This record gives sequence, C-alpha cells and structure tokens, in this order.
Amino acid sequence: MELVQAGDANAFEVLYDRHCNAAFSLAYRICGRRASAEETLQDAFLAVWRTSERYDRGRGSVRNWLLRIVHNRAVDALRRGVMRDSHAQQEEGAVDRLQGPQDTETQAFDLVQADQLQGALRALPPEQSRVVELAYYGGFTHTEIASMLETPVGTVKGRMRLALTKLRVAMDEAEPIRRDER
Amino acid sequence: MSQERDPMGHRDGLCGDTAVYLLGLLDERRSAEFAEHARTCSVCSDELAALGPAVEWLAGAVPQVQAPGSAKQRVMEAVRAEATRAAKGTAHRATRRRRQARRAPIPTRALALAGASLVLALAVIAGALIGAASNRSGGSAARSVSAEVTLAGAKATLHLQGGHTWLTISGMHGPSPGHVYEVWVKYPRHTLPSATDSLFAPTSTGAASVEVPGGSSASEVMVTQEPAGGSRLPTSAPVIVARVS
Repeated sequence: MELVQAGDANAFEVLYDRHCNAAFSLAYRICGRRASAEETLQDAFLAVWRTSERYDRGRGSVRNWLLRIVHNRAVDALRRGVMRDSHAQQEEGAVDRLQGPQDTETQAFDLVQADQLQGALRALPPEQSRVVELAYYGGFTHTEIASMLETPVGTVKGRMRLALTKLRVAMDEAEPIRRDER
Repeated sequence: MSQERDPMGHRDGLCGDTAVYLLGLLDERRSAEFAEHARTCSVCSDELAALGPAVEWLAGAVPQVQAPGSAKQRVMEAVRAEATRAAKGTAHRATRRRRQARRAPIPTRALALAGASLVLALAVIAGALIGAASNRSGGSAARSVSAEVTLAGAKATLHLQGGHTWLTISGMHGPSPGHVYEVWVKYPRHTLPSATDSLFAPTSTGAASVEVPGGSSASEVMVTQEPAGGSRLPTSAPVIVARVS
C-alpha cells in the first residue's frame, strides 16, 4: 500500500487483482445489476487510487477500507433511487460465480470466508438477520425498515445490535481465518 | 432522525445508536454527534470496538462472483494515465523552479486564473438566478438546483438530499476522444475548485446521473472536460455550473 500511496501504478494493479472479486461481489449484492456493480467497482478503485493517502493502517486492513468505500458508493446509488426498483438480482445469471479449483489463493480464501459468513448470517434469528440485511445490503435506513416491518424504531435498532453482537461471537469462533493479515 | 427513548438512559440520547452508526444509517450531523459522543462514553466506545469488526465482516458475507475484465482495463487505463501525468508534472515543476530561480516570474498563471475566475463568477451568477427561480417552489427535504449549462441542448440539475448530492444530466453529448467529464466542487471562501473522483461520460441517449462527493458542503458544483483519468486542476472552462447555496 505504501507503493500505491507513492503513485506506483503497478502496485495498484496488484491491489486491484487481489481484491477486485470481493469488491465486485459486494457491489453486485447491493446493486443487483451487473452494469451498476461494475460502475461502482470502477468508482471505488479510482477513489482508492486518488485518495490512497487517506488510508491509515492503524485503522484496519486495506481490504476493509476498500470494501467500506464500495459499500458506501453502492448504497449511495441505491439511496438515490437509481436501482432500488430492480434491487432483486434480476441478472443473477449474467455474472460468473467463482469456483474453487481454478481460483487464486486469495479467491479461494474469499470463497471459504464467504461461506462461513453466510452461515453465520443464516444462523441468526430471522428477525435479526432481516434488519441487518435490509440495512447493510438493501441501503434502507432504520426508520424505513421500521416502517416496512411495522415495528418500532427502537426494536429495529435493538435487533441490529443483537445481530451484530452475535456475528461478532461467530467471528471469534471462526477466527482461524487470517482476517487481519489482509 | 429518530427521537425514540434512549435505551441506555443517557441524557444525550446517543447511547444505543452504536449499531445504526456502524451500519452507516445515521445522517451526517447525527453521525458526527455520535462519533464525538463515543470519544467520551466508555460504554459506546467499547461497543464500537466490539461490533465494528462484525460490520466489516458483512462485506465478505456475499456470494463471490468474478469481476469483469473490462472494469480492470478501464481502471488501469485511468490509473496509468494519472501516474504518467503526475510524473511529468513533478518533472515540469522542477524545471520551472529552476527557471524561476534565474529570472523574475511572469504572472501568466495568475492572469489565467483571474480570467478563469471571472468567467466562472459570471457563470455562477447566471446559475444562481436560474437556480433560485427553480427553488422558489421547493421546501421539501430534497432540493434541486438548475445548473447553468454551456452545451447546446443539454440540461443539468443538482439534487441534494440527506447529505447526498448528485447531478442528473440530459441531452449532453459525449466528451471528445480520450477525454472524460469531471465533477468539481468549490467550497465557501476557496478560490479554486477541488477535484472529485467523479468522472463520467453520458449514455448514448445523452443522460447521466453522477455522484458529487463532498457536494453537501460545497458552494458550487462544476463539470469540465478533462483528459482521460481526470485532472487535479481544471484544464478547460466549465460546461456545467450549479450553485449549491
């Protein structure tokens, strides 16, 4: 990352290759459309290149920083209302799913990690996983979710807090993954 | 923003907002208030440290799909162009410094900037008149400002809502080959506009919807045509100017 911060395009390409699938997967999950996800992916990586000096190693991994940017960009687009109408992944067949054998080590790691994480989400009580999914992947605010579910805002916030607490416990149990090295 | 009771019983009503803060659901003001609050509240600060990684984990809890190769090509083209330009700029600045050390500086750049500022000011005044007219009937949380556009047949509107700012454009032709349109924001009391990472080209129908990062605190938003990959300072006159406030 130090080389990227110094303006080294080759170093940036290495970073791109390492994280592009994880970034695109998140964008696609949120946007639900290949074209929108691709646009979000490009915007996010260019933002990383142009604002690399803002990256602070003390505040987390490059991967987490990049995925935060991807998430913010994708949700911004959703909140503009550009894509919400077609948020269901209508073009599911238009993307290539990663498959284990021919992938690089990083991609294989992403696959294993994604399976674990999805398992942890599925293990949550449905009312808790629903609010987290609507908020994080759906771009809905807690007040919008409360209205959709006809539930008090305080209850929605409480469910979110409980869900994150349980996910954190699941993370600690699945810790053999070299999460912070990335 | 919700004003429901504080589940933790704290007087400022911010305790208990850790999850919504981490999930990015608070508006800019409330988010800043919570961040400030968490600096002095040990309960929230501990909860932030404990739950923060869980939110980052969510980013990886999605079906993994292959990123399209075309995206990499476009990103790397822009990155390599900017890296080359930055390297040339460094060499150029060094050469110029050596020349300036030998003779008195000629204020051509200052004159050019003054001229550009005058053009910009005129455009902004025109934009403000049009924008003010369009805003008289406003009043809802969402706000729209008509922008001054110099391209024949094109129209642009700046939208502001809940801390998000974006431009919608119609009837705009594409940039010249090897160029893109770049969005700029100008902040109050700043002389020069700041570059954003929003580069775009309209669709084949001339439409575009473009994010304006930092637009909510800007006084003006502009669009110029720049070489592919964008520029750090405008190299051409604005084709769109919208006054935010």
